[in-house]
Amino acid sequence: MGSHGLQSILPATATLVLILTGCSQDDIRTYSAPKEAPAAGAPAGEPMPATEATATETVRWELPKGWAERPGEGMRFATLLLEPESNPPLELRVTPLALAARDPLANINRWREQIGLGPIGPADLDRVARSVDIAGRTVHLVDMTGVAHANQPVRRILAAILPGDQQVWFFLVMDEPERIGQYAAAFEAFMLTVRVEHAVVASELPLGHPPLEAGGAGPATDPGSMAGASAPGDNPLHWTTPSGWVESQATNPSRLASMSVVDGAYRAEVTITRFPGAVGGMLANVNRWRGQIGLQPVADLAQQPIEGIEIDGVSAQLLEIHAAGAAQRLLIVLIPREDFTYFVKMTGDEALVAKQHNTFVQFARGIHFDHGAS
Amino acid sequence: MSGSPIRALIKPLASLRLTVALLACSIFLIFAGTWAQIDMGIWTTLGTYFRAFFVWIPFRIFLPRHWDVPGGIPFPGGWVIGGLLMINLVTAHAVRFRYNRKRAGILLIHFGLILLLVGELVTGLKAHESRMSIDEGQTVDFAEDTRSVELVIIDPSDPARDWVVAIPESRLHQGKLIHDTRLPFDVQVEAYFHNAELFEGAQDVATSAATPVANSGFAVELGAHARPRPPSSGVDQDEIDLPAAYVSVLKDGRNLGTYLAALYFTLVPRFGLQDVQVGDKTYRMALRYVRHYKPYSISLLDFKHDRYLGTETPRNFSSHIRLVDPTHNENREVLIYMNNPLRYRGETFYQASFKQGDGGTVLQVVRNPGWLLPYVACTVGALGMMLQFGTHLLRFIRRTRTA
Repeated sequence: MGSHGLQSILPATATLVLILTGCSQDDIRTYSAPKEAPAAGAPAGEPMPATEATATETVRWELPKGWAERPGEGMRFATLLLEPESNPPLELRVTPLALAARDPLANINRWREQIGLGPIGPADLDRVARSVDIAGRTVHLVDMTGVAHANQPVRRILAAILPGDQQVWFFLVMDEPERIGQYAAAFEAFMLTVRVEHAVVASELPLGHPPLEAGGAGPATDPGSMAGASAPGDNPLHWTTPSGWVESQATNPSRLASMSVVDGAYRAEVTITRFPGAVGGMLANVNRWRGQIGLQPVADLAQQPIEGIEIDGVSAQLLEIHAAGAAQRLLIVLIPREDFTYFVKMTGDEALVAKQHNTFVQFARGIHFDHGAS
Repeated sequence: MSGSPIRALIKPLASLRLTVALLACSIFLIFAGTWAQIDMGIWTTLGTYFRAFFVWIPFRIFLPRHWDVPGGIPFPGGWVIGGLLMINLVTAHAVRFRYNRKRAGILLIHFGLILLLVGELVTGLKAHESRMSIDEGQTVDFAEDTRSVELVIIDPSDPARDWVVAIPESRLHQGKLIHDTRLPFDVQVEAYFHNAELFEGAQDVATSAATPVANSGFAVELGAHARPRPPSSGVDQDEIDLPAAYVSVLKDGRNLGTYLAALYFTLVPRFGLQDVQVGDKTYRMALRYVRHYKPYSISLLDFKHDRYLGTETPRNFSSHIRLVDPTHNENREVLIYMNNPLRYRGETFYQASFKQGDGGTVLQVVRNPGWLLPYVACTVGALGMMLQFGTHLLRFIRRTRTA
């Protein structure tokens, strides 16, 4: 090879490195992509394997003549086109949100900001919103006209806030006042036809499960099974609620259940949550829980007793977090299953949680998973 | 060549002592990189220790963590050690080795080693891995890079296709204002957490004044907040980082709202994209895995998860797919199973995982322009060894006969 060979190798190597390192991945990219399918996976019409039961609160209405309906995408449940032929379209958006978002005032003020109006207080609520009874539910009908602001033209909003049992439903149309004005009466007439229903999508029922009828069991009437309760999404868990525990609405998407226990002046809350992955590892979780009841973090897990417990054939862990003098006590069962970690947690006044220990363990042992989801 | 200035310059580079020192350094680097995985994920470690020029090795990685020993040492990273090893080998050939038939075996072995080093260089810089996650009956035309996220702003106004502007994770620094003509509005990054946990309720927010509060989007609807969490480490099995960002949308200098964009929202099918209202126009926003759209699509016809009879032990995973590529007139069915990947248009699709309830498949999509190099390197090295040991054996037999 000799020095000649060397002289050719070094520049060649340098060029190779330069070519290989030449591209940067730090740039903003733009691209055109096919329309996003609705979030739930398989395209419409394609058969899905029967896996999990999904309780879904839905709404039904009578579509006024001349309007058109499009299925929603992402957060939106549906889009109604009031003038199907016109461009730009006049869209009535139907969006369900978690019940936590049901406060009419907060929503009205959010909309007011969008059309250039200042916020209002509770005393002014009746001025911009009217309460009407629609099939036993108190619906707020909102009609507001904004002002021109920040290069935005004047816009008018017609909206309705319909509280369901699992979600709150928003109906909203916003455009120029003249255009909206023609639909004020039609919007109210349309809202009077809207009904909240509970349906389980037949193709998502577990194998061998009998079909459920639309408008059937309401939420929380069957506390032992989330198939009829407040699951905001898929929920493969079943359990039996111990006597004395009261089940309530789960308002967080990661929360599969909420229950409360009251004994005299003492209170405790039981939650079942689900998160993807191992959620920070055991030590991080233990320290987070310790922090919640005002305890110092521990350096290693040897300082925290962890008991093994079997939940529906899955090896789970039981932890009790407490300390002398602490006002609160925590009982936690961690169930690692598939791609998720399930947390069954009781938080509350020291004396009550200590007293409920056996009930809690028995409750946790009684949890079982949908076999269709395994 | 003897006495030439180049030779004098490169002679130290060709030294055998340097070889030994570099091999010792690489052993130490691997040792440190292994310990580092207690705190860092495998890919972070790979990037920090091995695919880096220099690395700061903290002392505490070798010690129980609660000792909290400060300090560390700077150390050459994988690129430097590998690069020097290659230079060392090449220059050794240039200045020390003499070429004759007897040394052909050694030459081949060294050539194989050089190819192996070049192969790692090409893989480190050019290989790209992503995942295609497909439900049974679903057709997918993009792969996701599950090691990096991007903030996407989508303009859905075209009824046929979405227009997507994607801001890479590297641009999402706290306090940074992202102004770009391709974006429909400016994006102010209020906070970015590489790994975050979401929680609900307001009481925790008061304790953390540094965390911004969202006033629009999912966070408001759910009463959710995000707080930083340590990155998942190489010893935590099955754990993933869940990045989250608080971003404000600015138009003409006016703040139109602060949103919480979180990968968690993207992974939970119920959420997906959140709406961002700018004037009359609704955009969509999400923090999601970096997507690479393909000019072809893959439909999952059937996924099989075979188990050994009477047990839950997996025997085989296989994906029966249909590959459709109009630009190449491809429309065929393929069976992908373990050790039988599909190779198509420079990419290899391996059976990697499956979805809950066996309802879908996860394919690992690997594009590695250097994928052949390790095979060639090993073959060349093996040939070299056969030649080298064969020559020695023949010489030995000849000597024995003569004796």
